[in-house]
Amino acid sequence: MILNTINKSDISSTSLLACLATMTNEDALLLLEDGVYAAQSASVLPSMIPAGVTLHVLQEDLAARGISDRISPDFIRVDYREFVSLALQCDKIVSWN
Amino acid sequence: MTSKKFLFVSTRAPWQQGHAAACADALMTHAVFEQETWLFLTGDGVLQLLDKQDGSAIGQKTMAKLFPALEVYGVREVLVDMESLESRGLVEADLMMKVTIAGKDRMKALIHECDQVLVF
Repeated sequence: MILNTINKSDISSTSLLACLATMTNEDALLLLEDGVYAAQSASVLPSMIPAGVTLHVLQEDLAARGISDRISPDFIRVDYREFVSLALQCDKIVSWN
Repeated sequence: MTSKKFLFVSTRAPWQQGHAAACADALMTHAVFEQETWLFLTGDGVLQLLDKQDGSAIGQKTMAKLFPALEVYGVREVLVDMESLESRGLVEADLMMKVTIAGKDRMKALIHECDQVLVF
């Protein structure tokens, strides 16, 4: 399992598209920093993700941006501690930036 | 020395905040230390390979001159994302050297095959 992390808004960065094209259904995606904007219910992102990919979003970064209440239910909220656990469970991490 | 497989993914235009130069530095360092390395240029990263770049016009070194030397450093393969080229109106002839034009499937395969993936 590969953990893909994204820290840029999906509107300003094309890395997310490259990331989506390379994920398999066993992989995990974690949005953090400005990447968390893509977890909003209004975002087109959730519809573009391969089925089976587990979706995570860093709750501290949601809170900092005031969008904790706007997140798609497809995402699992994680804190920094859970981020570390997730990273340890994965074979490798690809930090798209 | 134990050798690992490293994939470098470069996604920025040549002069954007030094990302491209940092990628090239890291890539050559890994290659010199006999690690197996691949470079995949995608998104604006494909613009790094455009011919006729002249850094002196903006007081910089022309980083693009490094690309033809990558083979000497032992870099296994330089790949360019086909869709990214097409969406920027570019063709293979616009590039300064012979590279592998590949799709995202190849990048996906390399990501899974390599021990570490570094995105710049």
